[in-house]
Amino acid sequence: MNPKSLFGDYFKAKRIANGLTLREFCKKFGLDPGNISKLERGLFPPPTSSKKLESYASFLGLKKGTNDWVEFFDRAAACRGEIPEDVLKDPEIVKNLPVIFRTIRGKKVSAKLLAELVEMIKKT
Amino acid sequence: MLVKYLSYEEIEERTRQVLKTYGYESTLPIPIERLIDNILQINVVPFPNLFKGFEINAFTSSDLKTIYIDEYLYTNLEPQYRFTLAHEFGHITLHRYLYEQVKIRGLEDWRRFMGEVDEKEYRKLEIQANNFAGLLLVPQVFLDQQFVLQIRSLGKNFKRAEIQKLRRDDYLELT
Repeated sequence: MNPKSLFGDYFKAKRIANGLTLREFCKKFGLDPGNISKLERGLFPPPTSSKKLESYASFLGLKKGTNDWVEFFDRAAACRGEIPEDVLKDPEIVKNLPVIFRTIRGKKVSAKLLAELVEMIKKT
Repeated sequence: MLVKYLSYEEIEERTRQVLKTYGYESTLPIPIERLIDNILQINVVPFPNLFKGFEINAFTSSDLKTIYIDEYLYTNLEPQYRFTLAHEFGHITLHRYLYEQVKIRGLEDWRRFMGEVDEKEYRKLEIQANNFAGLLLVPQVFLDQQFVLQIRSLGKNFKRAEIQKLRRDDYLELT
């Protein structure tokens, strides 16, 4: 398992086990789907604040004192040092590039816009 | 890049297979977001200003693991969001061969591919994905049932209107 997604994979699995889509989960608990998605994909490190981690754990339906609760915090701790920044490296960007897309006018995107798109993908 | 021809019937058959596989043959509305996010575990990622900056509603990553979707669409336009998800799922289902064929190893490969893409072939891909999305979200069997119900109800209205000598504007309001 990729150490960067040690926490994110667990987070996502628990959300899915609760039967919620990312959008539903974020709407229910007033969270930003872009940020939670980054957390789940291992692009954001787990929060350092234990208060915030506890609230995430409770949103995911984890109960204090259970093995799941402990594992959630263990994974967060193990993962924290693995994600130094929220920017993708080149080999990872390639996996995230689009192959098929069309603009609304059906025209090709210019080389300049493609370069901007790559920069945006790195951060999204 | 050569796009394989797919007839409307072939695309319909593919959507039928999907609905059957995931047990949505008698479900309306088709829970497209749940299917993609929770069951297939494809990441659905809101992308700020994707439309505003690039005029793109959505795209699927080359590893087919992530669908990026314009954040405004994701947040505010539910019907279009559902259709866009189904459209991207169409690319994933119908055009997997193409993603494998393209083999992008680096940014340079990708830039070259983007520059060489044939517009006509691209249009074919989009039409196929649009047909897939429509047929997945509005399966023919449901559409046929609704069509018959609507025709029957209209027929009743026509008869009442004829008997009561109603004007057209009035009988269209009859229920």
